[in-house]
Amino acid sequence: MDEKRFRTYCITGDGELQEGQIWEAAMFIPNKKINNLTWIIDRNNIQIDGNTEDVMPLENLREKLESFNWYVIEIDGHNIEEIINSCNMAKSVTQRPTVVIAHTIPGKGVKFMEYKFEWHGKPPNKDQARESLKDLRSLAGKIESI
Amino acid sequence: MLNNQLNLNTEIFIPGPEKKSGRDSFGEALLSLGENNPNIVVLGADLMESTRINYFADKFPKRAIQMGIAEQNMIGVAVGLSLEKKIPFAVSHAVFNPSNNWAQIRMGVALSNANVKIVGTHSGFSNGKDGGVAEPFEDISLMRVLPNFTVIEPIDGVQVVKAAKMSASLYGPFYIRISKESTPLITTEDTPFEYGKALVLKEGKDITIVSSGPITYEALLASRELKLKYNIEAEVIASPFIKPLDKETIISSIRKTGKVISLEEHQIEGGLGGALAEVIVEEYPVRMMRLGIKGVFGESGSYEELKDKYGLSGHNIVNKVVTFLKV
Repeated sequence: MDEKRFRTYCITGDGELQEGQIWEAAMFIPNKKINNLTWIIDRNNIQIDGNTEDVMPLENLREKLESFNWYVIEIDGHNIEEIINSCNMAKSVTQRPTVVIAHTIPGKGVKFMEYKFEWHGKPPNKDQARESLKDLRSLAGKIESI
Repeated sequence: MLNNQLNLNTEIFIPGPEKKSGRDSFGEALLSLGENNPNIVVLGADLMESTRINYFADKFPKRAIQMGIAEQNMIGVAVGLSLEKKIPFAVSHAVFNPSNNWAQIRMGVALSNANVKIVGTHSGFSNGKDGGVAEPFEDISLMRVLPNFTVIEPIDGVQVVKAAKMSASLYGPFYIRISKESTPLITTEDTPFEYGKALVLKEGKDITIVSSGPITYEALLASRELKLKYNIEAEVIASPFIKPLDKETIISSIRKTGKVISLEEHQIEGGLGGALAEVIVEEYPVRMMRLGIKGVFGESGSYEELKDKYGLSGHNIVNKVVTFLKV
């Protein structure tokens, strides 16, 4: 509106894509040519009640977003280089807003948490926390940690 | 006699009083606000002509956003604009806005105390021709419960203009409820309109009638008939501010009369009647009767027909007051 040249980043989860408001916005942004916006979706496939595809499937997410006129990039959300590259690429796409689907593993780096939707919304107890930190600091036992 | 301190429209009781639709007044007010303040922006949801924000949008197309039928996203975008120091007016029919987007209003506007102005038009019976589905009787309850919000239901077109201007000049969330119907102009340019203040339109000693919105005109008609036919002197208080409610003016009237009636084009639960009951019970308990919509939905009909059928016309109010005072 003021024709300011900043770039806006919007980060959402994936479960919340089941909300109607998301699709109102997904329709609005390309329609109003808000092309200086980058939307990053943390696609970890879990939500509180289970796996997204069991609770209320989001796939084919890429096709859905493309049909809403978004430029879609899919990356490994744990790879910092890919994250940076995708954000840079988004800046060069001037005809459409860009959405980055960042595929991630929930609980990554903590063996007993990985892929488990049960950990979506609860904290570990003291012992579990100690074990989690040990896992994270040793890259799941691959290196020695202090 | 009307309170001569308030510069009210003295020709209000002459048959065929001057009328104006709240939405027309609002459209004009917004246009004039836009001319004076470049930060005013407007959002509509496929009802821009119907709510008269097209007056603004036609003149300032870059500051008007057509959201489509997407009231939730309308609030999201309005909050974003307010963070950029804009003064967004998110406008649609009160039956959709607020209600389709109440969670977004609660979280985005109220919780963050964002400078967003929400305007719901076609209030109460004023959309009667579209039937029960289109008649909002719940919006004040929905908005009154939210922290940080100011809730206003102007009693006529003149107050609509003042409420719109006030909301633009004061920081914080506002909800303004506006009628589609052409209703009598009770006040004038020179009538006071202060934040959180009620107006004693007509003094009386026997009973207090507190009202918000254009239905206030029926309270005035009733008070005139009560005096002429029954020698009952009803004090009529217009309370466009439902939140904050003007406790001082209302309680001091009730101390004098000892009895109170609320009148609104809205469910009596949680609306003006609810707000008044809460205050009275805590501060000065007296007998009370709430007039308004009593736990039902509306139906198709003209404004006049529906007011009459649901017992909110002047003559209905007279009968209810007489019965109330006999008990």
